[in-house]
Amino acid sequence: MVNFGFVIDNRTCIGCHACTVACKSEHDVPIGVNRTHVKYIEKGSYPNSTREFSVHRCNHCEDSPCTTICPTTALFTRSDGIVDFDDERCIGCKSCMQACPYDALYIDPNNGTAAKCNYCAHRIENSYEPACVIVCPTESIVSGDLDDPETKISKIVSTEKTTVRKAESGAKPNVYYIEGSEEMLDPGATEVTASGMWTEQAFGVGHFAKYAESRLEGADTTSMIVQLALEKKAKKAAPRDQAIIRDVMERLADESGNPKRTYDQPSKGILWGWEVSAYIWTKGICSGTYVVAVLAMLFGLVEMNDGLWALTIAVGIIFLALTGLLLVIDLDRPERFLYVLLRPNWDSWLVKGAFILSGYGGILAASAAVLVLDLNRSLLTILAVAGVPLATLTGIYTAWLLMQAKGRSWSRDPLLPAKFLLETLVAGAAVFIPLATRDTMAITLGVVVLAIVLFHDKRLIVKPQMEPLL
Amino acid sequence: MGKTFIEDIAQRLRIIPDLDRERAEGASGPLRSFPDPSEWHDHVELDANEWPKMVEKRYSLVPTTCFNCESACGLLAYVDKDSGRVSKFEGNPHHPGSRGRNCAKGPATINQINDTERILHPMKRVGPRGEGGWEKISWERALEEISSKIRESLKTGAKDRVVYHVGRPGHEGYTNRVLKAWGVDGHNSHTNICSAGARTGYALWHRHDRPSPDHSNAKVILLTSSHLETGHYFNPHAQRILEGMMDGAKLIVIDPRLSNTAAMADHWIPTWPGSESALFLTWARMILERGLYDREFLEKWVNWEMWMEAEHPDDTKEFDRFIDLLKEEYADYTPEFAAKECRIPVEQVVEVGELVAGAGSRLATHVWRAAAIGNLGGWQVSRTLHLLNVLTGSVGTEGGTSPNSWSKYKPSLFDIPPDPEGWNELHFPPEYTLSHYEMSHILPHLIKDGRGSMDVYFTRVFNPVWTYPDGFSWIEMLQNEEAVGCHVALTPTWNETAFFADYVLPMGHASERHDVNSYATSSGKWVAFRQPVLREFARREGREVEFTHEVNPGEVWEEDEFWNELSWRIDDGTMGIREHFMSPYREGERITIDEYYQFMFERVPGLPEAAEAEGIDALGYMRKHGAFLIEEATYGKHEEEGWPTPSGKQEFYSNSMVEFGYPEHAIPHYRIRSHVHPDNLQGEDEYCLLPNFRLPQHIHSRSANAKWLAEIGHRNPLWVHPTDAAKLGVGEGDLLKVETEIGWFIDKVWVTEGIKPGIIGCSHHIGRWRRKQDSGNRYMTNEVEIEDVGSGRMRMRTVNGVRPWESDDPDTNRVWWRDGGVHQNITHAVQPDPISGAHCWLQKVKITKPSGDERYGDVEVDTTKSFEYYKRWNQMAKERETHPRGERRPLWMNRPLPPSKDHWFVDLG
Repeated sequence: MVNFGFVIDNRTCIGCHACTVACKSEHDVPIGVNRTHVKYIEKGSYPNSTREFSVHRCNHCEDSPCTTICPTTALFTRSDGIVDFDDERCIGCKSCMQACPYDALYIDPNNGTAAKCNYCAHRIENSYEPACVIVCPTESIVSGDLDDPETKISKIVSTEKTTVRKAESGAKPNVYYIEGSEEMLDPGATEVTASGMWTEQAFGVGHFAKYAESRLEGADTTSMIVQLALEKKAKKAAPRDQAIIRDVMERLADESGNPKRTYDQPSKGILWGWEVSAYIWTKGICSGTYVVAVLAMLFGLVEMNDGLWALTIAVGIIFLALTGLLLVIDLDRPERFLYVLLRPNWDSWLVKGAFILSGYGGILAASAAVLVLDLNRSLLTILAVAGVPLATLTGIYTAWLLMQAKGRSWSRDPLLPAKFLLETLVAGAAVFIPLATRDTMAITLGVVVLAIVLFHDKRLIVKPQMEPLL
Repeated sequence: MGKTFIEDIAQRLRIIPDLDRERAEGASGPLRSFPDPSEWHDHVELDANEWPKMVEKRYSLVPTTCFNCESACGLLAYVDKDSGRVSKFEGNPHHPGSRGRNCAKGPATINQINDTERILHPMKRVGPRGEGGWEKISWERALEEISSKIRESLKTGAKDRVVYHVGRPGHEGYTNRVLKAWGVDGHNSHTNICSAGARTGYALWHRHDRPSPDHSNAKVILLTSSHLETGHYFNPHAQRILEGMMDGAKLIVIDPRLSNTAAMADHWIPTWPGSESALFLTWARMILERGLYDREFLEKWVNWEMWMEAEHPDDTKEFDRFIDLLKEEYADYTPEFAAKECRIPVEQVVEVGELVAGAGSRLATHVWRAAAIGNLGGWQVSRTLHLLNVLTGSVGTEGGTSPNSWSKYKPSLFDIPPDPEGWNELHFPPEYTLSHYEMSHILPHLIKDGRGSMDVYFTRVFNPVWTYPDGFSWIEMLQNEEAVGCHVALTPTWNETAFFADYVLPMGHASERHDVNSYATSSGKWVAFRQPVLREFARREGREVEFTHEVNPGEVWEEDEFWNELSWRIDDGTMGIREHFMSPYREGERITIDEYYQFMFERVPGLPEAAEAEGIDALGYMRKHGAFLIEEATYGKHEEEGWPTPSGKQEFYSNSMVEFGYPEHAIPHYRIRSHVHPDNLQGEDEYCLLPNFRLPQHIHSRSANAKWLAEIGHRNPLWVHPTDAAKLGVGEGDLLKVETEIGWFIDKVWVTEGIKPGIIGCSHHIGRWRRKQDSGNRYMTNEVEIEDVGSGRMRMRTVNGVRPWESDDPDTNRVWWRDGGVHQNITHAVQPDPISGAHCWLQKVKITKPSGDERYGDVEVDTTKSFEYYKRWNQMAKERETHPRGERRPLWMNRPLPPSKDHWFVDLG
């Protein structure tokens, strides 16, 4: 079986960016995003300082997290090991970008779909090497079949000492580096500064390119402070902000002897923003309210009359609709939202979640029908037998989705499902108790708790996206 | 990927579109790099943008050469047979220099072709020159008006009032031939802001003025340059340097800043700028002391006897005695001396010296720009560097360093007009007797000084307002219609100099023009053909094209055809110009471009035979393959040819230096301390500004139209060492004011361990600008306001950084950077080296924090001061002006477009 991979020879890479540009030319990649790029770092103290270059791109992983999480199999692994994509299947959910440990994907601003290095599969079809390989002045990029002992690439891998980026990711990457240094391959080893040596670093291109001018507002706070500090807007800042800026400046100064990133691809910014945070919140409310209501009824805490049922179901339906709406809004190709259900990748928790949401929505609709058509109220309880597990899964499944998004720190939290269950119950209680009692204190408490939950959800989603990739 | 039953049903019900694909098969055998030339007119490739749909695109692959830097690497244009447009550029595997590979600038050529802001029609200014008003005019009108101005000038008998000033020639002698046909000494170049320093040092040794190191076969590669990222010839040299290194060669890089090249080196030696000669002479002494010199080569090929004769007439003329005397002569160049001058550890001097001394005949050396163009006396650097090659006997050897002309093919021209009967003193002022070559960077000052003026001034791929020091003096000159009667800018894209033209004539990019190229990129010798690819595509499709502009976009011409047409029109039938533009094949008819190249290629050694083997003619071969290897390797040519010097040998001793008034430089020494030598700086408060370094993906002023290059590099902060940053009290991103002799600029700080303390680095590759009324290059130009503050003081302020804009290309609206850098060159004073004529790029600067409302990007210059400062440097040359036998310059030394010998003498009366 053919198994394509790359060797990047850092003994000979001179950091000329020819591969970057040849790739752009081959695939007409828009500015602001890259399928491959050459990262620069500087390390050591003068005169023992040096600069290192390293080509970064899709690692065509054997256990590729992007293909697992992709809901529509827009990303898929070919039998020859190439991880390819079909942009007509892509809905622009960006989960692949959260899952990739190598930050190799971007949203193509031309069509709002995910893209990345696909090993020039269109050239491979006619047995031509990828564009980056043939352009490289120093032949530092080697392509070929890793499983064929006669190829140059497999000989290199078997005779030279090679490393891979982030072996601990478990993705089994197929890009091997000769003389790849720790500082270069580990994104956490170098401070991400606001600007590179030759470039002004911007925030959130790619998915955010459509917001051109307002982009900076979408940037993460920490880097914004760095940005402010660097641009010396500090002069006009409030004293408290000035203090923060000074701290950042001192930190930067302290790190002058540490490895420093001098060129990297532009940051893609926050990929999942308020829509996703809010979706977790609305989802918690819509599922939690129902679960709490049924539990309260079962434990005899509340007598469920028609009015309470109607409120519970109405909250469920309204917030489930909002949940769906937010999910669709977050897509870069919202008109393709049905693909999640109709072109399903059963490995993806996005798909499983969509079916759970649909199932739960069906229960809510049926329950509403019971009230509207004035059917036997015991049907509500019968529906709850399926409704409670579905509502609970609605609340929790995002945990498993985030755990599939292996590029981010949230994926390492084993307690995530428990936390989501807790959030579901807390949010449900925060809504249901005031519904059930009409007590001013309870209403106030509910609002406060909901606000806290919303804030927590925002932090949960946004903060890991501000950290270097795992 | 197997599809689910749900999808299957949904697609059948047409709820969702049918996305079933033809299955990709994958590779059917080992991967190859390029299609075979037999398929070049019928190449089928799957469309990358349609993938995974398998949509076939049919291409005609036409070879040409890149026109971004000087290397002229091979390109293969992918001409889409359906649209008739170029889709992309890859490398040409048949090009012996680049061997199918390119740097970032090669594939980015497509950006330049598709630049939404390129100039597509001839433009003529409306209103005062430089105000920015333009009207579109016809080529007919442009040619008529310009040719009549030239005719008028030529008819006065003046030989120096029609001038062609070229930045990047890209051709071999085409325009020089045209200028000779017009009879003018009218060639000006950019050499003296670029390679003049190095050229002088080499020329003193052997007239050849550039080196060609054989990196692939070297044991030690010694670079006073940054050839792994820039320079002539970056991509071809980088390939071979790495080849050599992978074969065990050691790389030594001398540079005060950590270039990418230095970062790849086994030994990075961050010398103080200008001290390099001290280091080389110390190593020379080490070679002598250790007896590691090549006795045979020295004895036979070096004019040591002349030195003995002149300086030690009483000694016996024996080689061993020469060595003894030389050891005495160089006794002061101790490792400790070098360490002190260079400000590096003495251990490093010795350790690396051992390596060099042990290289034997496999020492590959290069100095390009860098120290040689940076410092007063920079020419000493190449002279002493070559001394190491001479001593080790690595001149012209495998793995050593040869003269570049051995590997450069000089094409045969169909007609050679007589040499001009005149001498242009604006280009070669008498006081610069040894300059290499034209004193181009002081042209505005020479004119201001009343030394002459010009009727018609062509600038071609040349942007002195931005690239040169003291740009405001250029603006002043260009705006003065007494000084420059008519300014014609030949350029594919707008630039700061074209803003001050009368006519802007659009010329083709790399794939839209003809040129012939041959460069010393390795030990071999090759010739390559830059051809307009759509013209060749049309020919392959059976359509004959008479002029390249028929297939170029808009009304873009190529220079070859322009010069022919213009020359024809200048001559009213009485001037004898047309006779130099007649076909060598068709009696009494005008030459065509095809005939020009046909004539040339038919005379390339071995080419007609190679063509015949393929059943085509020589021109057909070049159209098909784009390049031809004439010789595999050109080692040891001196064995047959000797050396083209007065002595016929390598001139360790230069009688010309003695005769032309510089006897202290009769042999290689470190007699001149750079103007930025620590002794010449005002203590700790003055810094040395190192501006002359480039980025691997840019060209000085011709890549701002390439979006893929601009996004990788668009700003040029000040490189400041942490200790200097602490001393100045600044951190990363802070602003600093850099004061030169004539003005100042404000830039941001980049704190880095990659610069020598005491040196402030700032690349002069970035900081392009345009005014509100100007267009072009918006990927990398700041919008500026220029204000004349009076009495020669000029101010420039950045009004807007780089901004996105709407165009047919959606990318222009996605420009995500705002920082376009700072234009620093305009604040540099001209510093002409009295010997080489080179502009000494390094600047003595004071560094302070900005005050008041001084902002990032602000620039101020006092052009009155700059003229006075020029006078001081000019005085250095005047004081030593010597003309033995009345010679303007040594008769044996090279000069571009040499006038007839009668004019090589000053009027001694």
